[in-house]
Amino acid sequence: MKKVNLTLTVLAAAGLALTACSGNSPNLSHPPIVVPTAAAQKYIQIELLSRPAVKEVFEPFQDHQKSNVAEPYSDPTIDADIVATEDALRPPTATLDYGKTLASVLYPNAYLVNLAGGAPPAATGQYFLSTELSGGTSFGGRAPNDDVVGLELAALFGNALSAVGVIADDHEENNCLSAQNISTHDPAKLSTSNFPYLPAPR
Amino acid sequence: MKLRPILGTVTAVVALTAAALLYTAHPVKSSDHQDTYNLATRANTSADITDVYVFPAPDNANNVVFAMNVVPLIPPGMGTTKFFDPTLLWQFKISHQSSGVEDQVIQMTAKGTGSAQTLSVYGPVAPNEVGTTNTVVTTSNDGAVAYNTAGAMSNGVTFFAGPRSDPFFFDLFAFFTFLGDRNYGTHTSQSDPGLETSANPEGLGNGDVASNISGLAPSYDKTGNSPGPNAPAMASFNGFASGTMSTSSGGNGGALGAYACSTNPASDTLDAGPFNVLSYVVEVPKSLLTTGFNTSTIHVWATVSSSTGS
Repeated sequence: MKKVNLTLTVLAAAGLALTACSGNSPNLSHPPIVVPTAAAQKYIQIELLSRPAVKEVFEPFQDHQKSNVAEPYSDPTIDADIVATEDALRPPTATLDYGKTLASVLYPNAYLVNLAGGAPPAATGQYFLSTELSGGTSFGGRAPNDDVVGLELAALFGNALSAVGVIADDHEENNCLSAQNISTHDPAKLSTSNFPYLPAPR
Repeated sequence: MKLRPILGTVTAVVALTAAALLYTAHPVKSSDHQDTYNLATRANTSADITDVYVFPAPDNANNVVFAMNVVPLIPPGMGTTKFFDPTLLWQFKISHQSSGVEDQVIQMTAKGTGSAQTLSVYGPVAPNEVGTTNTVVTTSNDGAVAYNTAGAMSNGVTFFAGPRSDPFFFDLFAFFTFLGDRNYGTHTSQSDPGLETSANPEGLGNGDVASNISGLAPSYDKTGNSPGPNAPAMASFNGFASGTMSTSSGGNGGALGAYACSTNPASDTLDAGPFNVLSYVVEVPKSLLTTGFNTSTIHVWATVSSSTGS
């Protein structure tokens, strides 16, 4: 993986520091940029995303547009879609309701971040869903290298929820769907330790 | 495109069919890549968010990083040929409240086109309005950068906008073998349910594959059509050891029952290009997110808005 180099050039007169940042080219210097003045234009929401793959896994294709134009706290479809999907796979019993439990973790569909939180749990080593499932002691959010699909599959089809004590084990997990088995990643896709942290383009 | 050879199974046929759909007739989505028909078919796909990240800055414990990737599936070597649509507004929305309503935003806008494009960042700042119709908080503009550069803003924010390698990884082909509905290429419009017809019997390439899996049918086939003749018999991701079964010892295997898991090699579809995206990366001092608030817990999501709402 090519390392991203970053050089800050402070332009005192403009009060603006510019940095060349390209993983595939040498550092560049740029003149001060005139900050554009935005007009009082009204913008209407057409796309929304927070937790990855939640819409894809739980929502029928036709419902994606409904979630995209809503705020996550007033989404008209995704809460019911999460429950319906999980109920189809793991029907609720008198004592265990995986559908509602999973919906309580994933709705509203926004990252839960504890700015004062610490490292992710050793069991997963991943920030994604760590705050939701750790009682808030981890930072949460999502880091670039997190296996978010694997974690979501483990919650939907596996025993991830029972493993952290959110609900008792119903023994209905499906091993064939609870992992995607991509354990080794192309090094060129891994994040870096320097801003902007995402890997250089290829 | 590089594809690992997959031989001799139904899954292989399905996967290769998916590959053909992916790279020829119809690109496809994954994490949130090509999320809807409308987003996937815009002339400039920078309205299409592929992934959102929020994580501690690896090199500064006092900072938090917000990243938003857009423009799915940029082929290798073509990252710097794609630009941000100057008619759009991108936002990270942040709520400190249990109600979830945003009380801070970080906004990004683009000016100009091509390699001379400049990108502005505003905030974090209280929004002018909450909800799905917004205006830019112009008083919070602390700076801008040229395309594919990074800069330090006057409020302590560091900002980058430009191409990056897509870090997301997903065995999309395996996913489509049992949830083909999620492939936007299996729909002719956002309102097209993609259901099976006599001329288009159910199978990959049709949006109703999932209805063939009895356990998934109620939630995925909203019209309740009967299963078609070409359904995959068993749902599975790849890469399992020989002999791995859907059911564990003492388990029931859920509604799908007991069957052998796929031993075909798992594959990261997003690495097949390998693909790039356009990224907004905003590193923010935590103090800008905590001062004036009585909790360190925040809820974060990202949006894209246009002047027309389409």
